[in-house]
Amino acid sequence: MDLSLNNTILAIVVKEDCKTKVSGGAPIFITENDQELEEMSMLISRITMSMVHEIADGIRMIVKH
Amino acid sequence: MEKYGVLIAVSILLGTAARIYTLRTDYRQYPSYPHAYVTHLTLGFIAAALGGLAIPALLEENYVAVTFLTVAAQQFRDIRNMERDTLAEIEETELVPRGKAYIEGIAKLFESRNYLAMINAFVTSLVIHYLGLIPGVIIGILFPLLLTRTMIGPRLKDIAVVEKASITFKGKNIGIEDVIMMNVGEDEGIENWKKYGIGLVIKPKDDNARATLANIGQRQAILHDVATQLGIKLDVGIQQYTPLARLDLETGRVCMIIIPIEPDIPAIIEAINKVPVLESAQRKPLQSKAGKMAAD
Repeated sequence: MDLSLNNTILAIVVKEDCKTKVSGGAPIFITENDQELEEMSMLISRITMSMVHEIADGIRMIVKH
Repeated sequence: MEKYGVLIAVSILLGTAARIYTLRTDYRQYPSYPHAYVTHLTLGFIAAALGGLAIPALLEENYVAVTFLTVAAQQFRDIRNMERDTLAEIEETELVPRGKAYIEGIAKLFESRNYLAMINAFVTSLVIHYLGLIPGVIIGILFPLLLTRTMIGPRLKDIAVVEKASITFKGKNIGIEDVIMMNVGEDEGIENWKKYGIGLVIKPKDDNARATLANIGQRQAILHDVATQLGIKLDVGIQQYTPLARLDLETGRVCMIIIPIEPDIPAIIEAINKVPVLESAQRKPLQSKAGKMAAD
């Protein structure tokens, strides 16, 4: 089997009010406002060379393609 | 063999000349360095020598010597492997990869051009022997010009029509019309796509073209060619600006989004029009009975 981190969720960044909507294996980062959400998701994606996806308002996931 | 001196020399010369003629540097930037030129010219020379020596060997009734042509076939296969390996190795350094199908096409091309050098030397020596030196030289010059013309495969403009399309934004999703192609989470990313993003639609002319465009390798080749010719705003680690070419499943159109450095629409359309239709991507369902029946 091919083992790779591609196309798996590396991390999840959520706003405070959405934190009950997520749980599970990936690291979850809880942020206080839109600006922090944007900044943190951007940094994580740059560091892990991956991409940010917004699946619902205030919930972003970092996936490497 | 002394009596064949001129024959062999001229046919080898013209065979090698055919290889030089086909060795061009174009936008594919390959080969773009002197070492590759030396390699290919030498191999072209060897190919021409093999072709040029065949007729004298046969005339001398040295039939065993003709078996060395099989050595040639083996050697040219190695050229294909060599090209494939090189391109596959440097693939990792490309921002927009060529894709395996494109690499295979280029490798095949290099192989066939050596056959061209060999055939040209063979034909030239044949003509020189039977008709004389001057007709031989003329044929040796005209033959590759003619053959390379017939070897040019179809381009994308032969099978499809390229048009500009506007990118649609639905929240964080971007795409063209109803086809959603990418979800960009970052606000900055969305802003950049809105500002600089360019959308294009490639409409297949018939069902053959539709099947060809559906090939992943063909689409990757289109992206690579546009990115190399118009530049692309992309770097490692920023995946959100990756150009994409996705199918509209309903109609078979290819929707494409890209952020080029030069946002010049006619230039992009021209670049796409000139993309070669890859040999390995070509499909012809309309040639089959089932395909024709299904197309009704």
